[in-house]
Amino acid sequence: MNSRAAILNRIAKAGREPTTSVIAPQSDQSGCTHATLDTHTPDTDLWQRFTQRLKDNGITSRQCRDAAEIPTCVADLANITTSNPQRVCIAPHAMFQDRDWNTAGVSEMHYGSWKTGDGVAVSHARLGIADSGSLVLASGEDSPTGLAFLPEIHIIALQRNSLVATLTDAMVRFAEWKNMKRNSLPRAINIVSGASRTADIAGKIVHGAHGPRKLCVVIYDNA
Amino acid sequence: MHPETHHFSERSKRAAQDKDLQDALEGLATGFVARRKDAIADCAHFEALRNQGRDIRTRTCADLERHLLSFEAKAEQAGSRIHWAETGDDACAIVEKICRDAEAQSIVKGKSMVSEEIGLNAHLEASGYAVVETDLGEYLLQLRGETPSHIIAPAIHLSEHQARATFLKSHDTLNPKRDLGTPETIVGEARALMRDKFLNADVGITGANFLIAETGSAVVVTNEGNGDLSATLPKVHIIVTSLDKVVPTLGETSILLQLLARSATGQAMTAYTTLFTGPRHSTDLDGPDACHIIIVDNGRSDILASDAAEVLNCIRCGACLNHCPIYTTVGGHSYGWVYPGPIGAALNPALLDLASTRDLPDASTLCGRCEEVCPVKIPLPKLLRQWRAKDYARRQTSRKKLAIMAWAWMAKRPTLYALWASVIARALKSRHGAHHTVPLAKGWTTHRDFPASEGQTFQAQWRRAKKKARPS
Repeated sequence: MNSRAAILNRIAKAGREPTTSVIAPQSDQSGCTHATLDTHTPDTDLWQRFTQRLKDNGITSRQCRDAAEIPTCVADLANITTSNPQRVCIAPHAMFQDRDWNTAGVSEMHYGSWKTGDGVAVSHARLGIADSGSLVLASGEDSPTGLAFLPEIHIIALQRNSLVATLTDAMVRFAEWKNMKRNSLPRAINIVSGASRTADIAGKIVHGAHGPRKLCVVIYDNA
Repeated sequence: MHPETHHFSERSKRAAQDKDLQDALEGLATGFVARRKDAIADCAHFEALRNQGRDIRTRTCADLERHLLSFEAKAEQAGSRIHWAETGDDACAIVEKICRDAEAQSIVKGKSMVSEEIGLNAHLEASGYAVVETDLGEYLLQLRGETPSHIIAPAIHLSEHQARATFLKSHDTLNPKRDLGTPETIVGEARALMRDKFLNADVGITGANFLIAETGSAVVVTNEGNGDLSATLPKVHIIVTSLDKVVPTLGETSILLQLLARSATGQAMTAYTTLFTGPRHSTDLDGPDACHIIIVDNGRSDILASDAAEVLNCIRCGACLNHCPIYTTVGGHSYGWVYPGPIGAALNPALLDLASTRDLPDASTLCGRCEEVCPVKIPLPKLLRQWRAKDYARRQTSRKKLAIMAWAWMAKRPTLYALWASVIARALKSRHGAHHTVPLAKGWTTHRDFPASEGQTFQAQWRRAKKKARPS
């Protein structure tokens, strides 16, 4: 008997009967189970909560009217000036293409994956989560995962209509993000809720353990 | 990691006298405990989340075969390769073979308690591979040749001074006069050294906090981001995890994640929570070419069939450690194996054996704090009592059993019992008020005198006093 069969056989023999749940999660039509908890709040409170949570998580945020203003916000958040030039790696996302980065002061930039020497990276979030002040990124041809972990400063753009209330609201949506060809989720879905940090030296929280020392969000209205 | 659970008694005595350790453990109350309290005060529905969490874990373990098979099917569909390992040695051999096939020169590794349990680093190093722990706490321990003392903060026992001294000693090619005066400079040095390791590694090994059956994904939670770098930059990603980590759906995983972060570090969400599903897609700009998931049993399927099965509901947040009066006094190393604190005391006898871990269930005041703070409401005091009862039954010699049977026989016969008690009471009478030695009571009289009896049993004295008081 191979290991797989032996293990599964022992589990089957354990003969534990499925029990009825005390608080039954509900299944929707996609077969996806989600919480019955009423954690939703009215939309008016959602933005307030989200911005407060971003602040609690040490995430700096900027709001702009439309996507054309993203380069200016990026330069501002990363403090890019002529005396402080920084190379910016930008995800090849449609919202970032054909923008006037140069005029905004971002003269050294490239689209694609992070390269040694890139101090700043810009990604685009699929969702924001109000309850926890989190941003959700998903890997793909317009979103290299490394951008979230390799630069000193990571800036994430979030479209205003992409905010959900809770982590559960966000996660049940992941099932819709399946790649048609492989019928599976994106390779990496990153739920980012702050800059890289560690408390491994005598319990003191230090930012920039391995990944970004600073995390920023640019929230823009629909283009 | 070689178990040394039978040394609990000596180790805990030493730990209680260790000033550095006591200082470090004092920080738990102001750190993890206070932050968890604030996070829960800020989450009105936390109790409802706990009930759901317990429910999700109980139902999943009750139908584990189905969820594991579903996970396997989805993960393979996503391009992951699934390996099943009955024992720790099997798992280590599988990892070694993957590394060999990948012609790996260097390996980076994220924190994984299962890999500690199976002794993966020692196995790979003995096979000639260079493995670098990338979690800062684990890296410090690797340099010092130590083992983790906490489930989520492995180097909690080390002071800032000890961390600095370790770097000065181990990073001996750097300027010995460099500034390492603050936690920031120590972290900065680790970051710079580790960056090279990440960029040049051939294989990245991580654990998994959860496996999602609905999508075939592995969830990895870190604050440092080291797990993500280990899983993204090398060409091969190996996930070493155990079969109890499976969760049926995305929605249910979201409930457990909310419980995990708040209970562990007092955050609404950990800095990085990532769902990994298979290797890179053809259009992806980064990510590994291959993803292997090793599902380790190592005794868990037997636990599932036992009366200790609830211990498998654990989501490894470490809250029971932080709130345990014993753990916070003796630290994690006293427990002698990977899993310390109340969860270790309940799990280790099941994963190892009761004979070598018998002191651990006793290392509890049964105050119940562990159960109160457990995000999935594992009845830890009940499980510890179960182990105590089993150990008691196991240790009874036939002589002791006979003595107890004789006592029980006599206790059921009041006249005979009173006669026997009066003989003993007379024998223990002494003019000096106490006995220095008493036959069969060396355990007592070695440390203190045994009080002398009045010469009569209480009942006899009562009868006499009553008779005296009665009017004639």
